Amino acid sequence: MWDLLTWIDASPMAEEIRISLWLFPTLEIAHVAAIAVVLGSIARVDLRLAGLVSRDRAISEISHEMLPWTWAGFVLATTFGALLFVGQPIRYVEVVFFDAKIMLILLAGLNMLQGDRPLGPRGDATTPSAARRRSLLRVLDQRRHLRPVHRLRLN
Amino acid sequence: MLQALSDWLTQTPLHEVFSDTTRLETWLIIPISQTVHILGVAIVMIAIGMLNLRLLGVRVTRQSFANLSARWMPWIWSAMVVLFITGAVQTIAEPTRELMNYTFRIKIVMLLVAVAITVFYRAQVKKDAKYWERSGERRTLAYALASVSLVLWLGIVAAGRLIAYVGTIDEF
Repeated sequence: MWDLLTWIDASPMAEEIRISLWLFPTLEIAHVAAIAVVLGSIARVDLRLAGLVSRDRAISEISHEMLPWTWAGFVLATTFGALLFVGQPIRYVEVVFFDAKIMLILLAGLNMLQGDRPLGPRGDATTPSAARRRSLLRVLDQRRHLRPVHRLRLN
Repeated sequence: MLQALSDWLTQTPLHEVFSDTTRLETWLIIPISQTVHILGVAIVMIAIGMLNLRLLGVRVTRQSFANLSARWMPWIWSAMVVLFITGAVQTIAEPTRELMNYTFRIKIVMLLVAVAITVFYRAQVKKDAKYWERSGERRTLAYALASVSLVLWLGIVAAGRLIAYVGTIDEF
């Protein structure tokens, strides 16, 4: 593992990312913009799963709408993130927040593995129970049973 | 003028608190503010992306532009308030880094133009839901506005990151 990191660190690519004046900022901009897209698209689906927004629209529809955004953003963020990592691999690994971040991404990936399909068949207007169970915000979701829809108008 | 504002901000008690890195609770202010700022950017990026692509005719949703914009506007404005507050915290903490930087100034100008475009195309469909589809000229204008808006918002995100790297105005 350590050998691999040392090898990456010594590679010409790493050298280029370190010394170039524009490469790191450019990669970082692309990385941050892609993260914004991932976060925003996931927030939209999760908030709908929790029953907090767009209750008049089917979860399956919103999920179908957002999945391409999430995947495109994720692929871009990972690609540019990996390139940023190549620049100073040892330094990153030594920072506990970086390690925690990778762990959290892997956990999110596990969550995605059971949810990488759009939730529910297209056009299905109900909340699929599997999707509801999958939602990290399902505690909030219970509130829909307690309050009439018209009294909870957040959107 | 901005130099004067920057100098004044540096003397405020808030600046004292926000830039105090000797205590954990004040040192945490900036990282937390930056994190919340990025969450705000996430909301605006998705909202703006959907709205502009819809206006460009990309089938990102089955909803009409009027419908879509009515849903998303409250989110955009709420996120903008959060972005303004967290951005202000960061500016008060480091007035020179932000105000005395060309990239920051370009970012603010792009922001004002982008917001004006958003307000404008939303205002039209508020009066008439099909406003942007009524004639070829309007459709062309809608395409142009949406394209410029997308480029500006991406530019705003890019400029935000670039402040850390370029644009510092040397003090004399």
